[in-house]
Amino acid sequence: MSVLYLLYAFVVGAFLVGFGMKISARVKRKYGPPVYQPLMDVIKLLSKRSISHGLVQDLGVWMALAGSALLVLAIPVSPFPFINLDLIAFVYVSAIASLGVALGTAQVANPYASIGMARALMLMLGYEVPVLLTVVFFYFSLGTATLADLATLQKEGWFLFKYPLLSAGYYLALLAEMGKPPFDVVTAPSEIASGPMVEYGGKYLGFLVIYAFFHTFVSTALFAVLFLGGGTWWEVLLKQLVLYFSVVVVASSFPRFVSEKAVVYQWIVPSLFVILNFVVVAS
Amino acid sequence: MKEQVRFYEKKVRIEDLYETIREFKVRGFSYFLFMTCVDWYPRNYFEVVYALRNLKTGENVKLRVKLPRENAVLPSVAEEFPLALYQERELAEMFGIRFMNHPDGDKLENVILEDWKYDPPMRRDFDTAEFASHLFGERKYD
Amino acid sequence: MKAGVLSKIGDILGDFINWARSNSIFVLHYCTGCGAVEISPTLTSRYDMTRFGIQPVATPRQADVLLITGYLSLKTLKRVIWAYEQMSAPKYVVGFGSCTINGGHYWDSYATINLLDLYLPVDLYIAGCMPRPEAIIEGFEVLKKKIKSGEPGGWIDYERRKDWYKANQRRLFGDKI
Repeated sequence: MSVLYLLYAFVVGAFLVGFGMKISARVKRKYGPPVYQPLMDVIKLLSKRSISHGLVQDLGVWMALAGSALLVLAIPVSPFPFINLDLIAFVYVSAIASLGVALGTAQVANPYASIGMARALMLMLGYEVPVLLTVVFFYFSLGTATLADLATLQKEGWFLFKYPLLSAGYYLALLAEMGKPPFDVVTAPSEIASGPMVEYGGKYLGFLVIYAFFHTFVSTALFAVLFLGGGTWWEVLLKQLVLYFSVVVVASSFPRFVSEKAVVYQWIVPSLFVILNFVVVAS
Repeated sequence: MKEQVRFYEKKVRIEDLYETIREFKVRGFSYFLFMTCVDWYPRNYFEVVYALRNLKTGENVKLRVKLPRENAVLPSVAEEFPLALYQERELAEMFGIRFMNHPDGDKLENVILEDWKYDPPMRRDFDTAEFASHLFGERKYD
Repeated sequence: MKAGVLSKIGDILGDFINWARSNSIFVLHYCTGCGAVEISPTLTSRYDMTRFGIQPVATPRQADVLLITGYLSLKTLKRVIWAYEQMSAPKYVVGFGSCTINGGHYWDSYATINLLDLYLPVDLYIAGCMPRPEAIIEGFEVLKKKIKSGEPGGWIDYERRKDWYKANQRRLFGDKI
């Protein structure tokens, strides 16, 4: 049953990414690739021979895939079994996935990879601040931060409408966590030649694309469960679609922040929203 | 009449070259336009041409130096005009002219031609079509 | 009986994988010569190439197709050969413009090569000086048909006749390649 859940997350992630490519192409006035394009990319990449630099590079891919698969299994979507994780533990495990890709760059002697890894860790330093402030808020005001409890506590009203400032702050942190413009300084297409993934080819790149699908699914489903009152699988799917549509439209319209400015922005603006939310709720 | 580009010519000998260039620079011709070489193959000499411009009055001047084709040696003007650094290196590898007192050293590496083992290619007696068909293969139309 | 069924399933799986491989092509557009100006309109909004599944990537490790757009000087050819050997199989080389076919405009130059096929195994030539975006898309359709039919590309030829290719390359560069 967990395997079925992983397969479901793989398919939903693939189609979300496909829809994203199509929507961002239409925003730029061109027809995009067909919606099932990421699936064909994965099949093609898994059928190539691959060249590897050594064990540590492979270890990076396994860590990334394992971390994101664990996160998929922790989201409460109704008919699937899930691991009952706390939000703090969730944030902790989600660092493993990014650190995995960063570990893989240690054996690669490419300067683009080191620059990409440094930027990824720096950006993580940035967006963890509003996320952890959100966790603190949930503990203080509701007394619990388990995902299942938070989902059931939204029966009378979604947190999106009860705490709008909190949702706005978390939305900006979500943009940075998914690596979308204006915070896409990590992969930075046409600037540092796709960052930490620069030396992965063939089957390893296929696994990294699967990691990208899982990561998309997890980020959008987490927002849907925390703020949009997730329920059964088709309700969560609908909310994920609407959320991802808004994220892609925002992402296609902004240029990129410089890496230091992105971190400073994440420290100031979303954190300010969350702190204002504290003030508003306390009064 | 519209403004045209006009060059005043002056023929210079190799011994007076450095002094003449410095004198022109002091007189106000402080903008180094370019430096090139003309290969008079049947008459058996090179002619190196320097072009300078006076930015205040807009006058251009052309200095011509005649060189023998074998053992062509010239003093380097890169200390006066740093723009001539890479242009002299290009002439050295394309025509085979040696420059004395070049600031980058004595044995200069080629800028454009990497690992070049053949004759300097811009000379008139270097047959490029035959060289190309010898090194890169005969072209076939089948 | 069982072997027949298994081989039929293998055939269908092979056809499916070939169809997926032909619809998703990652191109490393190595902008060597003047032909690089025709790649930009083909890739962006006007003659959109991504709707056929052809996407640009940044490094040779992630690429399928090495696109040589135009003339290759000796300096560039050395680096292009290094980039080709870093790609992971199965890989294809597409030669653009007449300079890769027979030297084109610069056939008698001392610094540009005349025929690309002597140094790298070329799968497809697109003729023109420079080919227009419609010609580029038509050329990629031919490449897609070739991938879909499961025909082995030039990379197998490079592995089998490596001595011949290396001899041609060493003629230009000595021992440095």
